[in-house]
Amino acid sequence: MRKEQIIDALNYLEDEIIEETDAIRQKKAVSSHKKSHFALVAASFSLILLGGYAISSQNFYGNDNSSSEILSESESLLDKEETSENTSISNEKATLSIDDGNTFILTADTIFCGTISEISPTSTNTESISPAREFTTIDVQIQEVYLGKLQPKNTVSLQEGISSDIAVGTSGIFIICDDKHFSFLETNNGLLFDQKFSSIFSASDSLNDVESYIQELLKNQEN
Amino acid sequence: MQDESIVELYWSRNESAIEQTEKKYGHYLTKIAYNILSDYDDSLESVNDTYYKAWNSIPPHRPTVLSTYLGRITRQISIDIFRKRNRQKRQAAMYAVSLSELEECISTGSTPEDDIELQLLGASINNFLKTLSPEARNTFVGRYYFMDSILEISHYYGMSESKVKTLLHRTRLALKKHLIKEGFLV
Repeated sequence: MRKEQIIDALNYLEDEIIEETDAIRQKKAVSSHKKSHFALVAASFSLILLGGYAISSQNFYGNDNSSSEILSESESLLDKEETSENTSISNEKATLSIDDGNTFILTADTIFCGTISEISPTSTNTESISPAREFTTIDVQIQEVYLGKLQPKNTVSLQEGISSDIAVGTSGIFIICDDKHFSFLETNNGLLFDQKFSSIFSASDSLNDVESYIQELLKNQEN
Repeated sequence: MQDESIVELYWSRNESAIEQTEKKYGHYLTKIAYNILSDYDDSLESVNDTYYKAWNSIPPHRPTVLSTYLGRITRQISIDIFRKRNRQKRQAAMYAVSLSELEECISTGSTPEDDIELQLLGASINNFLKTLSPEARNTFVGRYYFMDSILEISHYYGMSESKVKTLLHRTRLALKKHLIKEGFLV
């Protein structure tokens, strides 16, 4: 018998067995989200869709906390588009006011999830970030758009902080705010994200947790 | 939209069934495909093929849990794509092209005997899994059906990676014994 036969035979498992495991896979996302996020959503966060202007004036590069979870204290943004549709950013913006003991506000143009399809060599940004930081450019193929007018299957490029955990195929959720962005990347060593979100997420959370959080915020806004 | 409503759209041959399926399960199915293929474009191709296959199979089928039904299709299509891709990689380019052309002359599908054998093996593994603890069963199905990483399994089961590895190792050994006992392995 070849090992491939076992893999093929598993396609004949009863639905009940597959559903049992799938329920656990899905429940983790929901329960973790409820545990760590619902209270925060209610107490500490607000999301307001505004008509086209940014509120944020925070210095996103001023945080010297160099935790391994810090990824995206870097300049971004959409410097590569495969279609002209990519250039149009929604007039709707999401303003997140995050109170983690050191309140900061960010205004999101676009929120989407996608998969890293290409990573360019490391560069050093000396122009808009002081002190200069090393970064790499990642191409992200968009899978689903939660906010904004980007389209699934388009590719965008983002300048990302250096991390050996970032690889082609890594999935992530990206919050784009004017000329900056925040990434949540699901790597083999856990969830990588900006330290500013450490009151909400931990490395053991999954991308599903982030997705649930984002969708909950947007749903609350609709209500 | 509820699964029953989506299935009704398929039964009434309403093309928005595909749209609703993509909306509800696109991300879920892409994850299954990506776990197998590790390539976003191939994963999208697999998921699109899943929609096509679902369109052609509902009716006559009326799945009660659409995620399981669609996931099963995506898994098989992705495995087929993976094998085709790897087969081509292994072969010299011209040889692969020639062989691929000759596939038109023969049946590319599996024989009924192969299918029956796989069904019997699947039923046997199914019975084996029912004898396991839920923890061992779910880590096994998570790893070898959904192809989740050890890390992901450790997250959704709330256990360490080393415990997942140990559990899987023990389950694989127990499965080997079971398959020998059942006559699938000598």
